[in-house]
Amino acid sequence: MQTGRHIVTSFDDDLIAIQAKISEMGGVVEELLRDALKALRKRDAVLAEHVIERDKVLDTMELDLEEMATHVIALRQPMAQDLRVLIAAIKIASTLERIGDLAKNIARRAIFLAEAKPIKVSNSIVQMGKATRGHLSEILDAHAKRDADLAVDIWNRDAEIDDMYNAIFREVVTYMMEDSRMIGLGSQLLFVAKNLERIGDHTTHIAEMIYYVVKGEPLGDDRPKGDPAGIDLDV
Amino acid sequence: MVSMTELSKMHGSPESAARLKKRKAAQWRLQAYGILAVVLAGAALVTLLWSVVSKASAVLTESYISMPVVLEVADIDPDGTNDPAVIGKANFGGIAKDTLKLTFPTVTARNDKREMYDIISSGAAFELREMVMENPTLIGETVDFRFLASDIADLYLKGSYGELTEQENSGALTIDSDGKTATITSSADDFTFVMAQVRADLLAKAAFNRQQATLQENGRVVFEERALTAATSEEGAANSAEAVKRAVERDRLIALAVDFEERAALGGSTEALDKNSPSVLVRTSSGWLKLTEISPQGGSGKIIGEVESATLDAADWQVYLQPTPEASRKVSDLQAMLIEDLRSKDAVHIVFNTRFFTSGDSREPELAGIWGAAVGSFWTMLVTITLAFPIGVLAAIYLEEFAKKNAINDMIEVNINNLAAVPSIVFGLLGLAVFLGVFGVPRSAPLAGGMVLAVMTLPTIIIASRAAIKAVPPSIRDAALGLGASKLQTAFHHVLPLSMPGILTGTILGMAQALGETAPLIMIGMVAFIVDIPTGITDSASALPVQIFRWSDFPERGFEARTSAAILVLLLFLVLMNGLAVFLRKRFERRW
Amino acid sequence: MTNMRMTEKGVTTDDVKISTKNVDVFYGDNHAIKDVSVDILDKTVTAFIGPSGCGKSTFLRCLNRMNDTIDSCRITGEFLMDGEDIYAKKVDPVQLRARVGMVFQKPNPFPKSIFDNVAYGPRIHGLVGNKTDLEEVVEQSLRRAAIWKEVKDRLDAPGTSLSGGQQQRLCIARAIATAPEVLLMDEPASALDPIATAQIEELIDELRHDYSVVIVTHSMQQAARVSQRTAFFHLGDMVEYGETSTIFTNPVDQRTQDYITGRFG
Repeated sequence: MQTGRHIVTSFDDDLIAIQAKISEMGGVVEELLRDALKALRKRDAVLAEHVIERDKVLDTMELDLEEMATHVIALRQPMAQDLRVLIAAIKIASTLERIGDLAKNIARRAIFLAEAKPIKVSNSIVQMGKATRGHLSEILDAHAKRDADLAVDIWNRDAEIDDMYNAIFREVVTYMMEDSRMIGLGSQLLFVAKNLERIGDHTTHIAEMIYYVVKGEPLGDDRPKGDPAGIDLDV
Repeated sequence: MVSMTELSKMHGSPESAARLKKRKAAQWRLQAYGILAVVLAGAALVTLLWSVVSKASAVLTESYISMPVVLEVADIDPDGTNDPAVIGKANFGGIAKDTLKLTFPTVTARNDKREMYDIISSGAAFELREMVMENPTLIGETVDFRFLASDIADLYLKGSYGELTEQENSGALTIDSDGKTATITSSADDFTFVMAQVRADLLAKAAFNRQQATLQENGRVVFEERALTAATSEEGAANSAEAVKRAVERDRLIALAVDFEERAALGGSTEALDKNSPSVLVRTSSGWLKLTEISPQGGSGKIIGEVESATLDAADWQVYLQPTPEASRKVSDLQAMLIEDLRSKDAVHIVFNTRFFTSGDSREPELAGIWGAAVGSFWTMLVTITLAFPIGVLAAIYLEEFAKKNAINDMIEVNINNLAAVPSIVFGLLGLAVFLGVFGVPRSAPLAGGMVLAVMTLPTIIIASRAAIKAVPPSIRDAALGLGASKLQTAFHHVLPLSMPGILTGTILGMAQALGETAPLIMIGMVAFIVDIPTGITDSASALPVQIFRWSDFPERGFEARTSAAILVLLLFLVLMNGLAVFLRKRFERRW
Repeated sequence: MTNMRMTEKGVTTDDVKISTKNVDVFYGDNHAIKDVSVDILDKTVTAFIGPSGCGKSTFLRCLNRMNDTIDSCRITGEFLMDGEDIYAKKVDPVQLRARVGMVFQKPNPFPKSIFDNVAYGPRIHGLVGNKTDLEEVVEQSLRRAAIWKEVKDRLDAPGTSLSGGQQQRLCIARAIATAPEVLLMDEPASALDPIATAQIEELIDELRHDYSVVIVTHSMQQAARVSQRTAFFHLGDMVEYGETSTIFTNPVDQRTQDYITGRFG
């Protein structure tokens, strides 16, 4: 439901500022993820350190946004969609901050993996990273445009990322089973994949927030998930 | 300990229902009393208006008698100068009398001629004079002129002196006439109708005399007692003499009563008709007969006009009864007969009475009008409003907006309120002493009357204006002051326009009250007899209420209707002024 | 600490427009204002808040000498506007009120036409010479009060035929028309519905660029939204005065805190 401008223009200005802040945070998160994955691919420890440092900015931004939103709620007593926008903004900021943390974790793994020798399976991780980044980018778009349909679409497609995770899991476990010297390396890869999968989950959380803002109801619990990794533990 | 939840259960209980019934009954009763009060008030009002209107309705018309007037050159303008001044000196009164003599040649006796002249108004001759002065070419011609009927003729024509009622006749009438008197006999008993009337009349007279006799008897008894208990012998003798006088008077009255009763008892025979009996008139095609003796079949009497010996069929003669005796009315039988003759000749014209509204006061009722008084009232009102309105409104503004709240101003307010209750005649005394005595304002002038009434109306205007000004909400004043308006600007730009409806209503009501005030105007002399219409505020004038007061005092019957009509005119003025107040109020009312 | 108004800048000037020192006001024996000193800054919205009967309206009315109309009122202390004492003998209160305009709680347009309402002030103060200039002043005032578009086709209609919010904006236009330097507003939105209130607040946001505005309000949110400085009055004392954001997030005085959080006993 699209509405016109508020009678008091400064109210509109406040809401626009909050939206802008979210977009800004999203930009930083995208950048962090991109750089973390690049560091992983290129085995660039310096870039990874940079990512870890940069993550602190996100924390400050999240606090700023919370304060802004709290002020608007206190002064303007927003109703209906305005209220949902503000509540959602606080939650999305928190979610983005967590995505940032996950990107930071990936960067840490990247530092460790930079010293090891390259392995084949890194490629699938790169693919998963690309997909995750793509989803993140799309969801930030959907947020800026308040596009609920796009959000639901992304919410559904998270199953792909889950599937990718399962595939990588099996692959890496297979490698670890074949060669026990791979276990150290493999487990790092598993962590990275897990982080990426978590990022995907958070992205769906943002999608749910966007849907809630636009439609006024929660999106529901039955998101299609990929099949859990089926491994034969007896092997 | 009272439990509120328990109390709320009481709301639907049967006791509360019973209370509700009682309350509703009381309310219904109150409404009934209110309606009853309104109905009573309305009935009183309707009764008042009805009595005034029915009396005043006689003024709506006036009567003229048209007769041909011979304007002899020799009488009016023998030298043919055509000069209005010369013409004006002619004896038009004589010309009018000649006209009447010409119309009724058979009226010759001196008294009869005087009665005949009384049919037309004394002012008619002046109107004839006016006409000839304006139109000298008419001299030498015979003109049909409308003479204004006198007040008694006018009243007669309106039926105020009783109606001549025609009676049934069936027999043939035999007339035996000698030119001045005649005897008539009818073949039927056509004259019985009056016998009963005459008899009843006689009996009434007898009873009256007997009653008077009783009073005399009572007096005699008292005096005899006094004579017995008298202190001195002279007193005793005086009282005895009085007693004897009373006794003599009593006997006389009783004798009269007996005589009347005897005459009444006789019946069937000839009775004399005198001034105190009803009049019986017989009319033929050429003249009238006024009966002085009557019997069931005829009688004898005096001839008016021409009546010859003859025998007439029932259709050719009429007999009339006038129940009011001649002594009890101002129009004699002769005058009535003459007027009836004129009426059957279509010489009588009854027209709408514009004279009442256009002419000034007069001694003669038929010539009197209210225009002079109305103009006088107008000038007086003009002076009153010119003085009272500005002074009153400005005083109210000062007292409400500018004056500080201290003891002096409180006292002023109390005094103004008291002045509103002072009897109006006191203001008249004030006017007499100060305006006439000290300032030398001309007596009986609208200026003096206006000044007195202005002083009288001032408290009303001030009080009404203050109330209206107080009613203007303070938010308007705050708004004006907040913009930087001074107190003066606030008062005149905002408060005064908003309070104008109330001020105007109060002013007009005060004016309407002043319009009807008589006492103060009498005190300053506006009660004089003023004939001319006043042209300014210093001319002598009268006023409507004063005019009513004067006319109600005059004995002429014609003034009775005019007094009521003048009251109606005054009421109309008041209604108009109140209507104006309502209109102005609605027009200027604003919502704030 | 960020400003309450995130998108607007804070106070753009530190010039003091009206300076008051040691003000005491007595209504007969009632000591209504007790030793209050406060500085009203130029081109700033200053809010007076406090519970009913605390004296904020009384103090406001001192600033344009409206209390002069009340006989029993006695005022002591110093009031300087642009450095000059407004209670000096040579100062005409009528002239002062053209420079310090006032808007009241209940909209009170004159029962005249809209045009005449706004034109009244300029007329009586002789601000413009001819009809064209007067029409221009009226139009500008109505534009600044954000009501021009709604009434430009019916300037002859009576002022009282407008809705409540429109009437109040008309009153603001009327006050602006005398070209004041300071605008005093005594609870201007308290008699209005939410839409009209929002319009008035938007208007105040714009007005402060040209005038120094002092607003008395019952609504703390409103004070926090529109003002840059706030003074808290309590029982005739001015308890605290400072930047609006400080007063509402971290007041110094315990009484202020209690009032704002609704803990008044």
